[in-house]
Amino acid sequence: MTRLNKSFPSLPSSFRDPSGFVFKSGQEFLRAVAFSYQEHYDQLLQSGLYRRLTEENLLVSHEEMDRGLFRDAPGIYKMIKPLQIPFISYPYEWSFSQLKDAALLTLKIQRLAAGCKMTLKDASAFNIQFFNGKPIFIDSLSFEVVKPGVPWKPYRQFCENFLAPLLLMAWKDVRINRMSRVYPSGIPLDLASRMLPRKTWLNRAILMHIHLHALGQKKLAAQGQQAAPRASMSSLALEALWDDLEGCIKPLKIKKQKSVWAHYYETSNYSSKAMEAKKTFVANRLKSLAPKTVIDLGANTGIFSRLASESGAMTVAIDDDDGCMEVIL
Amino acid sequence: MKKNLVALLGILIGLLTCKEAYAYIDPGSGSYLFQILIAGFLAAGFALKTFWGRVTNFFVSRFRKKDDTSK
Repeated sequence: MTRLNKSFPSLPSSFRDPSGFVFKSGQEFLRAVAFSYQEHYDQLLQSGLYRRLTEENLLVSHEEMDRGLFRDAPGIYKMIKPLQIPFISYPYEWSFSQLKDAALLTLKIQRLAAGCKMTLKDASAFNIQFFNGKPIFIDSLSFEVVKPGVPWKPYRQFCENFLAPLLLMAWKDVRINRMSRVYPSGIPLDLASRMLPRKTWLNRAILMHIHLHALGQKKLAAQGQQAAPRASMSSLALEALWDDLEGCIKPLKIKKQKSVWAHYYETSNYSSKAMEAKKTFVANRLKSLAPKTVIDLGANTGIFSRLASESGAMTVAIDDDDGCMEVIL
Repeated sequence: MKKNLVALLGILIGLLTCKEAYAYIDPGSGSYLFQILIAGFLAAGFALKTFWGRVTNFFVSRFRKKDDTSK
């Protein structure tokens, strides 16, 4: 496909996936689907997977654009207008619970896809955004028709994008998530293995998916390249793999944070009377201004963000304190 | 649990004794093969878990029915 189609120049950030590209038309983000992706796109829609995922708000819905718009554009099979997400956030900005929810959503979508003879071709945390307070999958071109016996291609990416940072946050320090900014493709597993406490070697799932996996990457890479075309994995083993990853992530919790700010309202000089007065003031201002969007910078526990949200405004609560971020969600 | 760790210890020894490759290689292909190495182990555990779930469900539903009829 002509990536830099003159009529529809793709965004510079849309370069990875040859199945299509994203471009901006006016204020809207649109997506071109390549002819090379036709089989997979059709299966996504015809198998009922798209309907199921969008009905449950797990995947962004989209509408197909009129063919007349791109009749002369070479290589373009469809042009779609996905649901526009009003606020874009990135995994290294999320709280622990947000990353955990995103990981569980990825596994849930993978299992539903498997039921429709499809699979995810990648498991990047950047495929997820938060919309109406819940995670939603935004990459409609991440699905491909499954080939029987093929191992789960995104296994490595899932471990590096979700499992490793979640384990590091739970076992070491919740602030480690900011490290994902340095490693946008995911935290290398050998690094995660070195950073995790030694006692995690006694945890069966962590031993397998992080420590041995990191060793395996090092030692089996050469054999893997030769053996990959012949590699085969049963559907039971695949189901077992997703179940095991889910079982590893679900019980994860972060240690109680020593956060000063999360208890700010309890320990600050605000009397209950002053607090009520502030709430009334904010509620009244929200009523008179009727804003469409509210960004609460330094939202603390989100008391006032909730007031804004209840008033009908699209509200984004932002805080630097990880203890506060957990309370907000 | 102990059997699990022994099986994983076997995989660990296998991994430690095989040679590293010093070439331009994609660590993703190592992950690919590693997945197959652990597949049998995971499938066996999952099959056992599913079977055990069915057994307990069977008895739970039986006892529930009995309770309902006695009422």
